[in-house]
Amino acid sequence: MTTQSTKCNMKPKPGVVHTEMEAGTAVLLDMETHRYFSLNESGAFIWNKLSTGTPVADVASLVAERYSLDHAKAQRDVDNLISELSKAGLLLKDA
Amino acid sequence: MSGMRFVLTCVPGVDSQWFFTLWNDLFAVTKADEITSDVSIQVSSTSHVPGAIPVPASARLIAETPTRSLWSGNDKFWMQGNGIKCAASKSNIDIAISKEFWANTLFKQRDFLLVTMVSMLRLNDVYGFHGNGLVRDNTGIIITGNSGAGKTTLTHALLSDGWQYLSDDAIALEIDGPVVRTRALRRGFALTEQALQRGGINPIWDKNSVRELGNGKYLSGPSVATERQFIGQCVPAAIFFTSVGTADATVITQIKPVEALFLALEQAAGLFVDAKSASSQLNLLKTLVEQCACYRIVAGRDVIASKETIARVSEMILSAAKKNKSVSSVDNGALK
Repeated sequence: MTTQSTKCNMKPKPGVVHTEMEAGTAVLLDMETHRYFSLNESGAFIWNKLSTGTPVADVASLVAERYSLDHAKAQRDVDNLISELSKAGLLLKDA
Repeated sequence: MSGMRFVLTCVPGVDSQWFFTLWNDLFAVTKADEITSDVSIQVSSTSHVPGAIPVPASARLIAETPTRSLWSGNDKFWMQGNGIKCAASKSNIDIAISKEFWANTLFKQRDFLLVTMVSMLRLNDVYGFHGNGLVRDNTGIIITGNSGAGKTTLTHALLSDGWQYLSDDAIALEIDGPVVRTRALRRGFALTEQALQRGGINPIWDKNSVRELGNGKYLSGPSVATERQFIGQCVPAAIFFTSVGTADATVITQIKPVEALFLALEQAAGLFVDAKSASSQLNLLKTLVEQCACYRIVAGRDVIASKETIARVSEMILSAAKKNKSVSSVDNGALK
C-alpha cells in the first residue's frame, strides 16, 4: 500500500534544532513550542534521512536495508513515525 | 571565556564603589584603571535614562516580564528593567541606570545584571546554566535542579565537608576542545532564613556581610575559610539533578545521558533565544551529559543532620563522581 506520506517529501519545520547522542539516539528541540522530543536509534536514522532531503519513498528502503526488515514493515514504521512527527508539528510537507 | 577579563567603568555620578561591589559579587571583575580587557562594562550617567541606549525597531522581543524586557538583534542584546537599560555586544556592555534602580531589591539588581551578563556570554558561545559547581580530589561536579530542589543546601553541606566551590546557582558552560568546561558566575551565596539558622553546621559564609536580597533570601560573600576554597573553573566529571526527599538517607541513582539531557535543558539559560545559538547550546549540553556520569539525587535529612552524616553523603557523591574515570577535572594548575 502506498500511503499519503510516500507521495511527497517531508522536511523538518524551520526552528527545529536537533542533536545526535552517542548511542545513535537524537533529541529534538522545537523553538516555537519550547518542547523537547527524543528519538530512538531507528527514529534518529529516519529523521536524519528526511532532514537531508532523502525522498520518503527511499527512506523505507534504507530502513529495510539497515535493520534487515522486509520493505512493507519498514514502510509502516516510516509512515508511523512521519505521522507522529507531523502531528507534533516537527515535520512539514516539502513542496 | 578562557582568560576573559571584565573591566568596569562608571562615570561620575554613579556610585562606582557600590556598583563595583555588586558586579564583583557576581562576576569577579577588574576595576577600570587596570590593563586591557576583553569585555568593557560602562555605566553611564543616571540623568538621561529615558533616551539612553535606544532599542532599534528591528530588534526582536524575546522575553518579557512585568519588570523586565529583553530584545535580540544584530549580534546584540538589549535589556530594560526598573530603572536600568543595558546593551550587550560580544565585547562591550553599556549600562544606564537611574535612581529608580537602587530602589529595587538586591535580588532584582543582581537579576538585571545577570541577564545582561549571560546575554553577553551567549554572544561568545558561553552559556549560562542554573546550577552549582564544586570540586574535590580533582573531581568536579555540577549540582542542578529546579528552584527549591535543594541545590544550595546540598552545596553548603559539601562545602562544610571541605569541597572547593565555583559558584552558587549560576555557572557558565563552554566548549573547550573535546570537553565542556564550567566556570564561576556568581560568588556570593543566596541564603534562606533556614540556611542562616543552620550556620552552626555550615559556617561557610561571611556572617558579617549578610545583606537582605529580597524574595525571602539573604546574600553573603564567602567566609574567609570558604574564600580559600574558591576555584574558578573545572571540567565536570559528574552532574547531579537534585530533589528534596523526606527520608533520612540521601539516595543517588544513575541515569542515562538522554534523560540527563532532558533535565539539563530545563536549567539552560536563554535556550530559546534563537535557533542558531540554541543549536550550539544543545550540542554543548549533549557533550556535557556524555562526558559526565549523570545522577538523580534525592536529598535526605542526612544532608543537614550532623557533620558525620554530611561526611557520609559527601563520600557517596565523591565516589559516584569518581566512577567516571575519563575526566580529569582540574588541569594545568590553572584554577582561577
